[in-house]
Amino acid sequence: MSETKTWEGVDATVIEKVATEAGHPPREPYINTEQGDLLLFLFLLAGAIGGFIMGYAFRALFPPRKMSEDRRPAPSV
Amino acid sequence: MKRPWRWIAAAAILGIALCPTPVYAMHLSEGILPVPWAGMWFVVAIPFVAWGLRTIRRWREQNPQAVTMVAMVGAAVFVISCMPIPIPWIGTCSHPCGTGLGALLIGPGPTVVVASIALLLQALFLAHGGLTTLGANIVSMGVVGAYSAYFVFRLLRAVGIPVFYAAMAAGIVSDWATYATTSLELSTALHGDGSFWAMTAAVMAAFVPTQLPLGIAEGVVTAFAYRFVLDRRPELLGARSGLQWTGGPSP
Repeated sequence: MSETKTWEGVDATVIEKVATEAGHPPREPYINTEQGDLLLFLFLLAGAIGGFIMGYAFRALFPPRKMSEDRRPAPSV
Repeated sequence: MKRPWRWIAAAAILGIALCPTPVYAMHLSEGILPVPWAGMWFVVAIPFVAWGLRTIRRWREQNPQAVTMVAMVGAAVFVISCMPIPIPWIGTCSHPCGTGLGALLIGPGPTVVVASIALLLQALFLAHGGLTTLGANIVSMGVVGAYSAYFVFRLLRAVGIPVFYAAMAAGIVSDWATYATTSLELSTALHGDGSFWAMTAAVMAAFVPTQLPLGIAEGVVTAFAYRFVLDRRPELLGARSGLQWTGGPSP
């Protein structure tokens, strides 16, 4: 594992290394999004959509606690 | 609900921050497994996915909130399993799985379903995993990750371990079991004339420096998240609620 680049995922440092040594290297994905910054864009999009769904569902399941009557500020006159 | 868009925007920004760059870890890439092995893992995965779908369909008829809970866990599993965590003293990155937490919140069956959807989307659009290796990835992250957490939690609760520590152990075991299964999947298919056990041990040992700390971190996050839900909405968890649709183990 000494030839690895810094911060590579363990798929490259472990899984793909073992598979390549065994004669089964990974091949290109059927939908190849590893072109330029396309993959970065898709990851950002996926993160945004995933975050949106998580936040929306969280808000529905765990609504903020309502402030009790006695803690509410008195209305200004 | 005042200014919901503020919360939605915050969630979207959080999602972007959590998922900034491509990361690959336990997912077996396209083409790594020979076709017979890839097919065999699909056959293993299908009954678990079917069981999970059946459970979700049953819940939906009983309580619409179940769909919201499943959606939240599904999005969480998708984002968490894309999230690169750098391990500074090793110099590599890996990701947690989130299926342990999912199993404690919605039960293992539905967690397999949401993990399958997450893995399919990652394989299709994020070059993360692969379509031919989807079955193997569902078995390691979805099936083993979810069921190991579920049974560890139930076992530890049965012997009186506090909820927080039982949830932590479930998260840790789920992460480690996922990577151990990936090692098995790889070595069963690729050991060739060499020793199966030697290859399994070598792959597991290669995962250890990264996954040891990451698994513990996942366990801690699982414990805090589970305790949060238990404090705020205990009726969402397990048989304690008396609701029929809740699938997680009883606290």
